[in-house]
Amino acid sequence: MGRIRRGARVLAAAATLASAACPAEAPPPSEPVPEPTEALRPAAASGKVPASARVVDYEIDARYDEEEHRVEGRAHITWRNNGPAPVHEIPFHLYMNGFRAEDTAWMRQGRGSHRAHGQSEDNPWGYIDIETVERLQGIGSDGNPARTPLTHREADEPSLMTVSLDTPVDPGQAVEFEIAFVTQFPEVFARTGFSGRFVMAGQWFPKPGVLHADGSWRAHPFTLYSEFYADFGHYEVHLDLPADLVAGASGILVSSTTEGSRQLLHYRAEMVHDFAWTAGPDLFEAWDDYEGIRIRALVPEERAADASAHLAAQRAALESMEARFGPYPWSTITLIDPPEGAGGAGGMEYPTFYTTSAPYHLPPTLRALGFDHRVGGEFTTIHEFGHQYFQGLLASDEFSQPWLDEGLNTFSNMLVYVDWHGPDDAHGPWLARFAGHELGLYDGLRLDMKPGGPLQPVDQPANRFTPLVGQYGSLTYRKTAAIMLTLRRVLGAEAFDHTMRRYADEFRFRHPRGADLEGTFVRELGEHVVLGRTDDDQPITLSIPEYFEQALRSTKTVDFRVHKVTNRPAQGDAGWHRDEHGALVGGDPPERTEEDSRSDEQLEAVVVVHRAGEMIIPVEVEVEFDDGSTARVLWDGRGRYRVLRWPGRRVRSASIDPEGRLVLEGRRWNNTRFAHERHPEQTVSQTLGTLSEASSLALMGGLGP
Amino acid sequence: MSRLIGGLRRTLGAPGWWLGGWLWMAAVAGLIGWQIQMLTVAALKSFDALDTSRMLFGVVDVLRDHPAVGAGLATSAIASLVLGAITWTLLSPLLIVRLAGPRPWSELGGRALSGLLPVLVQSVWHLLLRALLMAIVVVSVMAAPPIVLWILGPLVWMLCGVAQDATRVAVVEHGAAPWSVRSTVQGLGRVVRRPGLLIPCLLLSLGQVVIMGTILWMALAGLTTGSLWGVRLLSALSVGLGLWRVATVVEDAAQDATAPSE
Repeated sequence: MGRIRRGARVLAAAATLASAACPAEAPPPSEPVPEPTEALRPAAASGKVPASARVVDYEIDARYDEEEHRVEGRAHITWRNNGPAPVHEIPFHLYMNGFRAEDTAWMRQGRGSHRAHGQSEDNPWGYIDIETVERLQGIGSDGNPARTPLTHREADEPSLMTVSLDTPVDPGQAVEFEIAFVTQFPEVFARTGFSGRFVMAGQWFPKPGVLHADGSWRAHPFTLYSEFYADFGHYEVHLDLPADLVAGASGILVSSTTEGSRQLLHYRAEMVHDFAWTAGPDLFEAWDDYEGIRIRALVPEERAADASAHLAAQRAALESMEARFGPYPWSTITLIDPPEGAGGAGGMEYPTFYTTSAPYHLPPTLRALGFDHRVGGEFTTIHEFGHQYFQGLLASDEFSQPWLDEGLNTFSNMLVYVDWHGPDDAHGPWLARFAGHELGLYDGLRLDMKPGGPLQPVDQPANRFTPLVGQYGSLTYRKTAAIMLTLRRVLGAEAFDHTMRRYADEFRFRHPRGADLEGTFVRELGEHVVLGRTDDDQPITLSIPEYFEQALRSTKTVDFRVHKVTNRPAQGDAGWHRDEHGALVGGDPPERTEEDSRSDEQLEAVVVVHRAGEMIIPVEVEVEFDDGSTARVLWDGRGRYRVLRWPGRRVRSASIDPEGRLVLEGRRWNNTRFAHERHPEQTVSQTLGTLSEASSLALMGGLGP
Repeated sequence: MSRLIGGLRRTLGAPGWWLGGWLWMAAVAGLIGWQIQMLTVAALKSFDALDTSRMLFGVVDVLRDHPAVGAGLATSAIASLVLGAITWTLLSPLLIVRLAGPRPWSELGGRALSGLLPVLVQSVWHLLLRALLMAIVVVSVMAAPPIVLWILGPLVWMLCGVAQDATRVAVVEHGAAPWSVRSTVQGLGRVVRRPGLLIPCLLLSLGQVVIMGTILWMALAGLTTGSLWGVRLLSALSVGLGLWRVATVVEDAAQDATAPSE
């Protein structure tokens, strides 16, 4: 017993030490911020909200059966035909059916796994079953709208359904349906589902496809990498949930009543293209207000302190993105950090609502020793909030061009970090610190650029990415961000930011395509942007269309290297020459001296730079001379190589892209070269040599004697 | 406390062994560092410049394009570990005999040589014992916060080291059964029952671990030629602490041997 007590004392001491090492942060104030009465901010704050963008409205009544993990619902959908021709059939997305069986398009690609979260053995399947589809038209004999049953049929791929109309909907007209459905949630592993009593309901009701202005429908099968695409509209959602669960949802909470063991919640969201909700026990609520936007964070009670980190990141994201991409139009934002076991729900965006992930902070001792990172839950919060713009507001087709939402959003996240932490230099704000050495955000992106080149281009539909190649995240998210950051650093922040703001303003509440973004750049900055001039005053330009073509639609890489740095003897006038009478005179031998004994005037500095990658882009070359002075040359990068000469100068070193403008260039170690017999102040070999010697001393000494 | 002072006296009485051990270690480490430097020079040729303002990126950029350099770093670390373990195991009988007291070279060599094989066998038993105890610790604190394992793990690891010293001293100097596992367990029992021996020895081991961590941190934080000498001197201190620990165990055993029997 005494030994057990001693053991317990040791454990208690260890726990005390642990708590001293990781002091818990105080939870944020949990005083609720009053719920706004309008789903959109006042007109002065919301920015432009075009009424024409409103295409489809929903009124949904849904009851959640906690025992069966199932929703029974009725959706009253009003859809307007904004196309050029009468519509006879309407395709619907039934996203939840992606999880219905092993042979769905989603499961064939995902194989029951999503972002390292696997399907559960007990509750692997999710589905949505459409029971009836009725058209509501006119007044029936009972005084209620007349109901006409409509034919609906699932496609071979069950994430799609077609509803055939009894009579077509003419352009400019609307049609009203009522759809009775049952949604069965899987145990959550891919965004939506339940875990214990916690439930995250995303893509849980039928949604019409998007009719484009040319009369074509966009309704895509749900695949592993495809996300969602829908029209804007208003939502009135009545949820019937267990009374003891804390709920959160898109939009504003209009009313809340309790009836026995159930709570009835009425939510309203306006000018959004989706509606999601969550509910769970033991969720801590934290609140904030940002210029009239009610912010609500739901975190597991045992991690209540994490709410502060999420709220700080949320506030930073709002500050940065409103300034850069225009006003956030909605009056609320709700975030949920899913509890343990529900990690599969984390990291997903829905209008005015998103799921994030747990922040992870290193112990203070390690931070004091120079180890730290900024890649935890705060980054997820910033990323998922960023989707309120890139795709919540600029509602691009995530199936056809996923880079437009994930990539532009990742790029905007980098700018949030710049605005929040600074600086906006060649490396960006630090992302990780290792023994005091900082890895900049942009350098982190550079390390993600494959030196050998990617196997696929960025700009392609989501279903063309395959997990077998495994480059979806690298290309769609990070290469797109590197493409945009490179363009920003090459064009200059001011011109670039102005153009992005024009794009964001023009395409709010629309469905922009890649061509719209590229067109905005061309329209604002011109097809060719002059970056500098050659020695003979010819402009060196960046062709915007060529840049996007290479960066987005090819697998070309950016890679430059310094091929040669040397000092060769300058040519003099020794030898035979004719004098004024035509006679050959002179004949002295050329001066022969060792290189180091020559004066600078007797030398010619020569630098040869090489474009090793296929992608053509102008680049700067900086040359440092022996006297400490430097010279910069802008090369258009069109040839395979360029020879640079400086007669009468002695070169010490040459560096390509000294300002680090080319974030797309992953391989940088061959960008700097020193002339023969000239050595850098610090070398990689010395650094690794001393590191190895010291670690060897540490390891041998630590073991013995 | 008398054991600790006695151990220090014995350590300071054998400065050549301290210096020799350290010189051997420094020479091996220097060679390993030189080899890595040459490997990197061969890989990078004239692209060896390192931007000190972005050292982390510079090194990772090189390593992902030149995996041979990374492999060299990894194998040199493993080689250092293995070489350290072998060196100190082989030298331990000699060190124990010398720390037990000055002797003529012939006697020193003879006793050390005769103790070598038993020490090797006991080292194997101790390795197994250490693995078993570490497994027990890991399993028993699995449910506790990770910091508990971070504290208990190294503590048990160091305790096993002191127990191994006790067994080696008993086998080499005091005629304990050379091949028997009983000697292994007795070594553990001896140090566990004697906090006056265990605690100072654990503190000395802890000192070695702290020095090891400091050196590694300094190495990662970036070394200049000057600070490399600081690292070398720290490693000499680490060798000294290790010798002091062994000498303390030797002193403890010697005090027992000279104590009047009841």
